[in-house]
Amino acid sequence: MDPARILRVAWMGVVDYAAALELQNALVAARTRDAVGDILLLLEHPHVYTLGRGADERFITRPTPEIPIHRVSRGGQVTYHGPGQLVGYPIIRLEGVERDVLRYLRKLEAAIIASLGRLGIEAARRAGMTGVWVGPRKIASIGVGIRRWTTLHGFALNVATDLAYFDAIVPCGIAGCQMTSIAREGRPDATVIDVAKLAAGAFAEEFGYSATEIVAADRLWSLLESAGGGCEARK
Amino acid sequence: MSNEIVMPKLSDTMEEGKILRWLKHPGDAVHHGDALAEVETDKADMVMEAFDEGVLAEIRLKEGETAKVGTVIAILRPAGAGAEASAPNGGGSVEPKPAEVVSAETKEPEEATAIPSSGPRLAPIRAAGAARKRRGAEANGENRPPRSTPRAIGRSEAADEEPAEPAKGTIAGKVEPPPPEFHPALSAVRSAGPTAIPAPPARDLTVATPVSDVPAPSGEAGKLRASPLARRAAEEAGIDIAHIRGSGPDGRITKRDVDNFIREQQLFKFRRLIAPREGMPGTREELSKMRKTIAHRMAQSKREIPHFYVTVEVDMEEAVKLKRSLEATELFEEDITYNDIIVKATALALSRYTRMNASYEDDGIVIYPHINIGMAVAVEDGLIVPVIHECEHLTLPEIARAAHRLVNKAAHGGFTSEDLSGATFTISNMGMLNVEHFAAVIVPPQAGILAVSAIKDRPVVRNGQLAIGKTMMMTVACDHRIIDGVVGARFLNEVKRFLENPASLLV
Repeated sequence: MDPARILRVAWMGVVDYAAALELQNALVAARTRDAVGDILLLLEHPHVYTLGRGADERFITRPTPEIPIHRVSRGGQVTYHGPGQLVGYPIIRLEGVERDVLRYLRKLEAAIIASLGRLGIEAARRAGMTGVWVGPRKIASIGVGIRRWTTLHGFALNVATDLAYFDAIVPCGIAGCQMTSIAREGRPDATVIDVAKLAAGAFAEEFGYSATEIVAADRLWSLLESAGGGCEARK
Repeated sequence: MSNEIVMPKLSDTMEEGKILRWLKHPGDAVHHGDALAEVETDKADMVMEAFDEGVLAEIRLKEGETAKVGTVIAILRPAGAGAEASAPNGGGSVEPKPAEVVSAETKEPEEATAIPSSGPRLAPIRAAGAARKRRGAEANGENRPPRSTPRAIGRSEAADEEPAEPAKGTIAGKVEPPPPEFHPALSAVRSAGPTAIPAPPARDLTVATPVSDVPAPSGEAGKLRASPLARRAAEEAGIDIAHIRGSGPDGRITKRDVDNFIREQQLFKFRRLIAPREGMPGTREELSKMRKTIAHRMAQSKREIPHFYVTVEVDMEEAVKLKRSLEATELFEEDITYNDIIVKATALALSRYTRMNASYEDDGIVIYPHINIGMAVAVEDGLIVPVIHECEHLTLPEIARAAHRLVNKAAHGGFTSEDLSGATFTISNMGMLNVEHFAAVIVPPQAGILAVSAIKDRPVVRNGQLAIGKTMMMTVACDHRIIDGVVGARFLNEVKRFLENPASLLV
């Protein structure tokens, strides 16, 4: 791998789902034309249910009028996002041997398992069931999109999520799938930001970045600005 | 001679894939690079891209169906006699392709992207080695296709820039007519790719240069008064050039004008996208101008003003009743808020305890002629203190009206300097933030600040009986250089007395 691979990490705070999607699309467009480098967006969403492209709406068994539903172009079934959940959207370009969809999913899982390990939580994969599990309980959901070998969407790791919101859906289309969180697995002290830090480090390590650079969220636009307008030279 | 489109192998370990959606339908013309279908494997969703030309003749795998890797899922028939798919740059049908593909992506960013479908003619997706060899050849200048020509550019409708160098990325694979063994999606294997440095300005210039070298189609350019470079940039960004004001001679629109326009649009968009946020641990951020002002003034306050604090609990039962009865009877045109009631009570108390409405100055006390009450209002990453002037003359509905006007300005902008200056006393109300109790920092050169907390159900003693009442904690911070504890306590109790007997506020 190139020795100078840098991962930019942006902590975005709480971002509305639609806005985050817009941001991802802008970043993917910029990334595919090589105007920006690899970026990991870390954020929380307000309450929202999302359905993968192939998902069945019947998996939302008890729709709540106050909670919006989005259908999105990622794989996977239905899931819930909300406060207390760390959401990670890597916008990275897969290169060479990394151009392998399932390999990418497995590496995402590995990064999350490593983050949880640092909190003393033993998590694992389950064969044929993408995501990260603590015993039979699911702690992180994964659903990605790949566009010109650039990734979008990503993972949702329950930190202190109110798991009751999962009761209204059949998470990931698996009936009887029991959800859990970092808080429930014995670390109620961990905050979303703590976990974001761990996840950024674990992700960079798993994907072989030589360095991470933290980007203030409001600098993202300037990255995109230089990507879109090319007017940087005059600034 | 039709081409079979097969279920692509997106992973070494992928066995089957599901068609989520066909993005082309039988009869549709398919150009090289067009998004054909969304394919799902496991929890990943990819867009399959065409790398052949033709017409989609038949779909064999329906949406929602799954097939093993390598299964024929659709048939592509050549469009017509001369439309040889891999025709090199000469063919008229080839040149506009990049533009169309790119614009497809812009319009439907969620959908249009690309993995190539494995056609029979081409190497399997994993042929990265071939791509690397290919890249090497390009670097050496062999087989280097021509750069985008003005004509191709003119057809482009998208924000995506066509890369200057063909080896730049997957898009390059479309600019370049692929030789048979060449897999377009793999052309992006380029070691310089992921170094994560934002686009160097030079790149833009590189892209631009070939264009500016070409004489503009004169008639057209004259009419629109825009440089060919500007026109191209606007077209690429999907902007109607008529919306841009030119800064060149005779209002001619330059590329720079277009760039500035795009930048402003993006700035606006991203300011909106990244609303409230917290800093990432381990980072340093420069303070905004507002934040700096707050930092300096608050530090000055705590450095120079010896604060002391007095707290009372206020029974708000009557104030709650008053507010409700005002709502029910619609006695006043304006809705009266708790904040308005508190401002009115404070103004009355200040008129009796004038030292609270004063400043310490060079071993003297300056008593202000008017009672101008500032209200701390949170804005993004900071706060502002709009002021209601001369509260001593204002009735409760007049205060409500003034406050309402200021709140509107806070939401929509349009504060005048008068709105934000001249406060003689400040109220900080965190009632809506559900706090039990807090103390505030005096805004220099004022002598005090009243911190108001949330109204809550709390146990109260009424007529010797324990009951549940609605109470509110209030803390005043005072400048001990001019105010002593007794004055602070009396003032605060006066505010409390008005709030607990709110009929007096209607006078």
